[in-house]
Amino acid sequence: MNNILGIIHVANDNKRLQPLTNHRCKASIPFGSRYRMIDFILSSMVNSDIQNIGVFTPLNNRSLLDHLGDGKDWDLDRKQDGLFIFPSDRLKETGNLTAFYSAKDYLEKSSQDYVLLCFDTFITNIDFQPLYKQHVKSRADITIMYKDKQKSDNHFIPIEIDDFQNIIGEPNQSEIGSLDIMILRKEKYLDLLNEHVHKNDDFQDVILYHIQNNSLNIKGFKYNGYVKKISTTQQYFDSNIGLLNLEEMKQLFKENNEIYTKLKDEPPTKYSASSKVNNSLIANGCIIEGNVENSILFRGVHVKRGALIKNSIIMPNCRVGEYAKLDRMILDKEVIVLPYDNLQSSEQEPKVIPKKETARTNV
Amino acid sequence: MIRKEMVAMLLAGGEGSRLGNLTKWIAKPAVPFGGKYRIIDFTLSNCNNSGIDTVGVLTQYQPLILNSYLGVGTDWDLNRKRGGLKILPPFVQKSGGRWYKGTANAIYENIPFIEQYDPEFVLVISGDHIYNMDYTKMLDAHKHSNADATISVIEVPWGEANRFGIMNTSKNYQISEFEEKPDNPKNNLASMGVYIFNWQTLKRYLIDNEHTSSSYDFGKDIIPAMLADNRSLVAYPFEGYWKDVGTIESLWQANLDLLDNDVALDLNNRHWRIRSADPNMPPQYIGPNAKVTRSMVNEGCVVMGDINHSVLFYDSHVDEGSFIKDSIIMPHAKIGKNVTIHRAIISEGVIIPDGVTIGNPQGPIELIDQSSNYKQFYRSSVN
Repeated sequence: MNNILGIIHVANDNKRLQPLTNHRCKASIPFGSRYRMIDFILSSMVNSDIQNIGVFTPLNNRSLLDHLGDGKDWDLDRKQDGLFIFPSDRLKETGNLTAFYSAKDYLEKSSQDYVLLCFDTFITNIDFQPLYKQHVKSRADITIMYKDKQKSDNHFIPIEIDDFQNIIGEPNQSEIGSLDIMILRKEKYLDLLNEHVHKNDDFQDVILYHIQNNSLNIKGFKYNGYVKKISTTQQYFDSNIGLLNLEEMKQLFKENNEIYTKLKDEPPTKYSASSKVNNSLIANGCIIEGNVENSILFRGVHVKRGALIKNSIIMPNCRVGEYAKLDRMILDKEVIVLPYDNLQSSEQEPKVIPKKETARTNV
Repeated sequence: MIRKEMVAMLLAGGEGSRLGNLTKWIAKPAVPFGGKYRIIDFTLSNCNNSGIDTVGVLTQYQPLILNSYLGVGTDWDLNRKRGGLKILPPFVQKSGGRWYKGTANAIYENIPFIEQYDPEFVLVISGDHIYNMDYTKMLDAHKHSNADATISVIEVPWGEANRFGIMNTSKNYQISEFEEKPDNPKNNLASMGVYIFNWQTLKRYLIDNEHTSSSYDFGKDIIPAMLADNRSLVAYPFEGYWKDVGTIESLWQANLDLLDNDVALDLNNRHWRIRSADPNMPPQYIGPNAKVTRSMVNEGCVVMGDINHSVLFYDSHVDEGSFIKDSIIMPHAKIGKNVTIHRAIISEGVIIPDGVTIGNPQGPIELIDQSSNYKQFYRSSVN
């Protein structure tokens, strides 16, 4: 074991997630009441016995670096191996290949024989050991995880696969989609970097090139469990609210595969005599005196008496004033909602109140 | 070794026999408290928040859970290269092995630990009290008064003074007499079990005390001996919440005290965080038909029933149709469907089957505990 090195490439900021990405990269958007997006893939790696993890971040990484620290909360504060962070100013202009190439030394110095690459911060709780085992057994050059696409999964890259699990193309339409998670031998990875660094922008282009030219043995590995890719505010909203379904909760939070996150020493949440909370996920440190329904509350939220929060996502340290009403809203951190205010989103897309703003009616 | 102005010695070896089966498997300082803490978190957090970075924790009784909980003190920011948290169990030496015979003896046996840091002052505290206190203010008072020892005291109702160690004081809080649980109290200033000593003075008394027949106890031996020698002992009055959770009743009360908005113990103060080893649970889920009022609920809880004026620790589950009032549900406890619980403490990991009734609205506090195998299936005798 401990023969895999993990690489998480924090994707370029997605315009469709603004204003959630105004002050942070996608990987550190708060998710699921007490986590950040990166926690899920990072914890999956740690729980799969991956103890050497490199994180490539874009430049707006203050919030992400604050969150990750030295990796202590993921047991990645090690003398040997552990967490390595590669901030890169080049991710935007030149793609990820140059960033990967410039971190070659890190790869060469590491003792692991395999590299697990992950190109997005999926919301998932995957055990990577079966992928690793199949990859070793099949003697493929690269093994890519894929899933059956459901209606809402149109943003997974469509791939085509033959009867022997060989990936033979990336068509425009397909029943199955790539998770952008792949494993390969470290030497192969370094060879590909050397070969393509001046020819291509992104590692994904390299994969596509070799699929089209049939020049590498690239296999698929089907994953059937819970996985969400978040590219839009709507997907962000739906995936959060989806956790109110206890079955989905159980798929994401498994007893022996914890999702780790930065711990904050918040006290338990306090419910007053006038509180009424139903079908909601609540983090610690909240004080609830009002009504909360079908919503996700992050830590340290104060819901004043008479307030009514419905179908909403309320990030850390928001204050919702007396008798204020919220429906289908996303409040970024430290937002203040004034008493008696009434905020709701149109049917199409949930509205986001940016960090630290005081909400205004008629947004 | 770097010199430290003050070293803290935290007494955590007590059995807490009045807590009955709650302390069958764990030392009293490790008993769960306040939805996510253990009792010892409050004194350790006091140390950290007061800038004391060298803490010797004296353990003896049932140390397994306590020791693994404390680790090297990481969760209280006490994992330091110089100083930090050190667990100090009884040990064997050339002259033979021996248990700690009392609070004073426990410190005596660890004189070499304290001497490493060459401190001017030693803070002696106890891991079984709930309070938030800035020890630096007490140290300032101690230095200002030039006393040999300063003992923190709190005003208790006169009617209850006979349950405490009472300090009789003259002007300027000079202590003239110490009376343990006096029948006719002359004062209502109770010792909080928080002492600051000039180390060289204390060391002398600890060594002398070993050679006299005594109970090796601070309250019974060291303090009276110092008073007999006309040493200057000064009381330091503390205002705020302080509770010795020595009995089932007081543990229950102290937990429920947290639910009242007017109590002084503030868990939400960002500048005085109570640190603990966080079990990293998913968020709490409050179900579609649940009702939670006047209560504290921690992460990992799943609440489908009705919770009123109660404290739920992490990973406790309450199923549909159940009603819980004035009760403490400890970690990993699972409450089935249509259960009614009044005025009870449900211990860690206990499973309550469907339809059971426990306690009654006016009755005494019931402790529902677990058997030796730690996961007993409890069947109520009531229903």
